[in-house]
Amino acid sequence: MLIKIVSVKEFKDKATQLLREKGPVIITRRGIPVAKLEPIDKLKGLMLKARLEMKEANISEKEAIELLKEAEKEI
Amino acid sequence: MNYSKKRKKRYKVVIDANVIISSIFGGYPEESVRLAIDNECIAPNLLKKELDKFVNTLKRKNKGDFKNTSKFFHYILSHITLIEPRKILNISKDKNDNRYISIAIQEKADFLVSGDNDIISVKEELKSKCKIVSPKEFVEYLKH
Repeated sequence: MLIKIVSVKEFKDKATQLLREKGPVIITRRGIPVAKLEPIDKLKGLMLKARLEMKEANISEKEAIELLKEAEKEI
Repeated sequence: MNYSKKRKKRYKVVIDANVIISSIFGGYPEESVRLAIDNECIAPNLLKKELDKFVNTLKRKNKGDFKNTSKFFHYILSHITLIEPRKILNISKDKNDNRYISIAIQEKADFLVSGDNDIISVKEELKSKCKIVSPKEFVEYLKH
């Protein structure tokens, strides 16, 4: 996949278009690469959505594991 | 000259519900799930029941439909071959854990990745039959 290299200014001007293109983008400041923007794959996207759901419900990892143990008792 | 590409070894991996749930929160469990489904991932049929019951418990105890958590589990399950153990070995004190251990031994899995203390506690006892590893150990083993 072609990696686009853009300056901070170009990135600011074309952010919407670059995000739509879904390819990796290297952002440079004064010609020096300073950041890399990468698309999120399906697995990561689903994981992040689930994480957000847990965060909104105020459930920590420890609490989730406790809930699993509780659920297992019903099997 | 040999131009054939060196093929990366595909490992057979059993992953437990504990690790899948922890993966939602990131870190080594997240990397473990990714690596497991990139290899050959197997689990007992029980895994689906555990994840379904977990979502039901979440719904019962909290406000929300947890649709995204269900979608995530559905996606993961579509990458795992669920198998019923022919014989359930009596190794761990937890009957559900025994299904994971039985599948790992029956299917000659390279790894059983677990965050469950009861499974980890039989690691030494089973080392000749099955490699039981924590998510951190699994990631370190596959990445180095």
